[in-house]
Amino acid sequence: MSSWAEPTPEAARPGDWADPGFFSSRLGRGDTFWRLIWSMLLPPEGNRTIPTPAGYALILVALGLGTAAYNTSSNILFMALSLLLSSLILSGFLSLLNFKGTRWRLNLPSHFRAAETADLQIELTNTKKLIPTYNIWFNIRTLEQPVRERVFLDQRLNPGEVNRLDWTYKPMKRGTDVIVISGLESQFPFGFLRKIVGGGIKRAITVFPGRIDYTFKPPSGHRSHQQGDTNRRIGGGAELINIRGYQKGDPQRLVHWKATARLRQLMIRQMAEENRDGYLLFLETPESVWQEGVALEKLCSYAASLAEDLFREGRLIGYAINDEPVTAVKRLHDLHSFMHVLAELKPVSRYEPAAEVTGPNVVIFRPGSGGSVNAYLGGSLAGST
Amino acid sequence: MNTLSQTDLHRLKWLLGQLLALIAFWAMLELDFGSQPLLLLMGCVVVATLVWPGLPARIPAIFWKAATPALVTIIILDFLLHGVDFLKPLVRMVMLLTLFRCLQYRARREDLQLVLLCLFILVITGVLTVSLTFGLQMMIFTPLAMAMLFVINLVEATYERKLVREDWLGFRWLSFLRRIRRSMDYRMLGFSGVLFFGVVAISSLIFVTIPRFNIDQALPFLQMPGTSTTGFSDTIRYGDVSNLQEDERVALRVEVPDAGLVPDNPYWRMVVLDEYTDDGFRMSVSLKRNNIEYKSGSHLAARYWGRFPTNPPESNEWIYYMEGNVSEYLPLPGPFDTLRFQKKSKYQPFPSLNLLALDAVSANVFGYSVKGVLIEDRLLATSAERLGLADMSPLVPPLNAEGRPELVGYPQTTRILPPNERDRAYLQSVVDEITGGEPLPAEVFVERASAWLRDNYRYNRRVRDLSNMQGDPLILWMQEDTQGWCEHFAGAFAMLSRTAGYPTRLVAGFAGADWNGLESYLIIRNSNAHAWVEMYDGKGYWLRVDPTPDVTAGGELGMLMGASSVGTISGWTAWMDSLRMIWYRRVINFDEGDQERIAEDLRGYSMRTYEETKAYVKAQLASLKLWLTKGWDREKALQLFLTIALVCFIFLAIRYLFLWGREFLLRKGSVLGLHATDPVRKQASRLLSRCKPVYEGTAGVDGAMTADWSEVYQALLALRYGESPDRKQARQVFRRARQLLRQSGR
Repeated sequence: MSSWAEPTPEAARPGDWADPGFFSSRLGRGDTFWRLIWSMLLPPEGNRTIPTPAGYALILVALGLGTAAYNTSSNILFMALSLLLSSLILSGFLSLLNFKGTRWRLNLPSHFRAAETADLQIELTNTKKLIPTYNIWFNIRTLEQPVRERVFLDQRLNPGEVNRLDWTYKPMKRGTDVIVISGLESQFPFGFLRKIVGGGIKRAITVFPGRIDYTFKPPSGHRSHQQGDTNRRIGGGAELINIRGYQKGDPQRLVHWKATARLRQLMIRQMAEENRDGYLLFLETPESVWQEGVALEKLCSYAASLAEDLFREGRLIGYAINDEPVTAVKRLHDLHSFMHVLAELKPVSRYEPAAEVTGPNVVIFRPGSGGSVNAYLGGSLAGST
Repeated sequence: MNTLSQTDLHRLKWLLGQLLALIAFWAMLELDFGSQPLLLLMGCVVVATLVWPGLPARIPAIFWKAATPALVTIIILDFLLHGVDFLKPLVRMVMLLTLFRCLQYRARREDLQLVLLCLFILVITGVLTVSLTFGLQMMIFTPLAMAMLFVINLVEATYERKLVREDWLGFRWLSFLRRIRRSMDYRMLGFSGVLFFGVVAISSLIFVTIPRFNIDQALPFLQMPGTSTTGFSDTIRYGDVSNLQEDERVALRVEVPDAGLVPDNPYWRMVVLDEYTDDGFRMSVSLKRNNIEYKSGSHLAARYWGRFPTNPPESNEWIYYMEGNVSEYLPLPGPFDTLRFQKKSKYQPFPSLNLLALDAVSANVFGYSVKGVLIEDRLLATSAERLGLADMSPLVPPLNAEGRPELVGYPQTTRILPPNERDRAYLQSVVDEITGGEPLPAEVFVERASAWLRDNYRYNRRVRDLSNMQGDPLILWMQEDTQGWCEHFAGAFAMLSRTAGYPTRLVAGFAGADWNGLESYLIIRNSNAHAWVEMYDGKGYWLRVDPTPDVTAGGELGMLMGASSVGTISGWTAWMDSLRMIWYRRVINFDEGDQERIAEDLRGYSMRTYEETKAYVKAQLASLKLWLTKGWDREKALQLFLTIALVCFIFLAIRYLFLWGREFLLRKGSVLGLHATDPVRKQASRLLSRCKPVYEGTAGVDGAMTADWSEVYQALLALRYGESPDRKQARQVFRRARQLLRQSGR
């Protein structure tokens, strides 16, 4: 999952200043020039230039020098003032060059889990021909954790090079969140001004429920299918029923190497499930049973952890949420879909729990004592948190 | 390409900071504050911290605990003890703070303080000394300070920390500099060089165009008092002027509008001494009292002080740059229309003497310009002088009750003779010898008296020591010695002419100059110091008389006084001095008048260029029209054809070279970003946009047609987006695509 922070149509309107997209080769030279001139007068929204303490000191020094120069008519002072002003102009010019041709994208991990650290990367590339990029940083925050963190480019980024800035994020609860990256920011070259150009990235993420310690042990004598039943379905059995293309999440052991070599693409064996020793997770979240809070969180974590482990063992058939139809879980993608559902699971008001769910392989969940969550299989307690 | 580590960047920052401090100390050495030994010591300490950068870590912690209160105490005491002279304790304070910062490993804030302190020192020194060295120091300081700010920003934005002792263990500057060199990229160096010159160009542009107006409120602490080293004051003792003649330092530079205006023997009047005493000549009390009032301003017109130059020449402007510590009296060649100071100044005018004195000796270069200068061998006397000198006979002031001569007012002071009767008798005898007892016209007397002096005395800076003899020193010299210098000759002539009935005053200043043709200006050195006289001719004029023998005509080698004529300088000396002159003329003395001149010049130049271009184009068009309508023959047609062919050939050759160069770079793959403008990709893109609708329209209609289109379309896609396209193959694909487009009627 990645996206280039190319200039958006909005950011490409006349009036941008120092935005990396401002230098895009897709824009005409004339547009670029007049946009630059216009942006000097009216910086576009999101672009800010803020003096640093050193910048304020510079302003004071310049004012002092100017006052003294006009007071004394001393050309030495005028000369010093000119040098100071020209270094400011140089500073602005270098800053423009520094931003120019700098592109970045955000590389997110495949999924986020509550209470687990995830590694994010901002991939920076310098498309300039001659000049390196220095001293750039991004401010990163999320809606859940609004305290901004800075991610620095602490090395020189030579022309044509790519650098990856790492950031670790540990979401604390399941649900949806938004990663907001504002940038680019820089005090390059002399640290007098903090320049912020637009072009930040906002990316919504889904945080899966975190793992939880739980127990799950089918009651003794329990069989999830009748003896003698057979069902040819895709699963982890020994009989080959099909060969298909590789899909993300397929285990490596299922790769059909001969077919892969012949077709020059990864092919996967689909095996027949030999028995029906699998489970279906049935989650009911009526408001009358579950309220927002610890118990519901535990329910989600329990269901997620159990589903993950059952899937790993090849014993997860599918899942059902309230009155929604049963969704089969055949691939990792299906499991992640289930995780997505769990991440956004909320108590529902117009649903009444089934009076009795006693299917031999249906796992249901009910609040237990002391804030725990129990899992029932065939009406019998099979585990808890 | 290596990049420096964070620690290396901190070390580089330290190096740059110490270098900035050294430049600041170097600048302060030019300030004559008597702290040079202390400064040298401080500089040595900074150098030591550079050579052994681990030293600051060895300073015991107690030093830092005691340093701040000790510094505060020293600074307060310094201000209390020398508070009247505000500038010196201020500079010492900045000096101490700079050293303090150089002795410690610095964080960002302290580094910025160091840069500011060094900048302050440089600017203050520049303002006080107005020296050319300031320009050089700023040229070194600016890139170093920028580099330091750059490094500070680079390292402190991410990991703010201070260096510690461990960072310098096993450190060697040589290997460190090698690492820096390795991390440098020639492109970066070139770019930095271009940027530096860009900064210089932009700052010059700002300097020239920044609006200037004088609010006339000089900051008192930005003026450093100077001391006259030339001895040109209102009292000149024997030897004051001649001692200067061995000093080859430049005292004055004069920018003249035209070399033709420079007289053969220029005299620069500085001070007029009307009263004769036992010690020598001096400016009389009455003269000083009459002109005791100081005025303030930046502009002075002769009509405001009652003196008009007779027949003023066309309005030419002579610009003077008097070096620091020369004199409070401003050298002037003669009467003038207007005088303008570079900045508002306090001055004391002497209208009757045509002189001007500042309130204090300038410690640095003082610039002023004079317009409408009249350079003549004589000076028109004021009406008061003419009235006062109606009686020109010699005067001996009567003694008062205390036995001292009574005070006599100017211009009667120019008639006074020595009080001793024997001396006067001696003078009379000499005058009789010169005139033969007959009254002579002033011009004749001047000639004869000068000849008498030349016949009886030689120019020599070595005179007999007559200090153990009793009597008037000047008369004793006349009686006992046979050689002397300009003060003796001028003094002797003054006494003789007064005895002869011509009021006379002694004038000191400079005579002669060197012409620097590189920048067209005159250089007057201290060795041009000279004394001469002005004799009242009884007809309303003060005649300039220089009785000193013209040593260039036959004086003794090695003991010559500076000739009053204009010489020339050349070679390196001229080049170096021209640089200084450019500094004064283009930088120090630059003002709104120069801005106006530049604007006018620019306007004139652009107008001229426009008119010339217009005329040229018109002429060319007319000649072309004429050529076209004149009639045609075979030769003319051939000529036209060849011209067009040549133009086409040149155009195509340039285009081919350009394309070849770009293709070469593309093949090398060394230039990033060129792929976006690769002509093959661009052409493929254009053809794709034309082919796409046709290709989509043909799908499923005709199998053969679709196959052709599909093949070409895929090939175009590969050329547009694939890896480095093959040129030959590309040309074939393009040809095929055009064929298909033609077939489909597009």
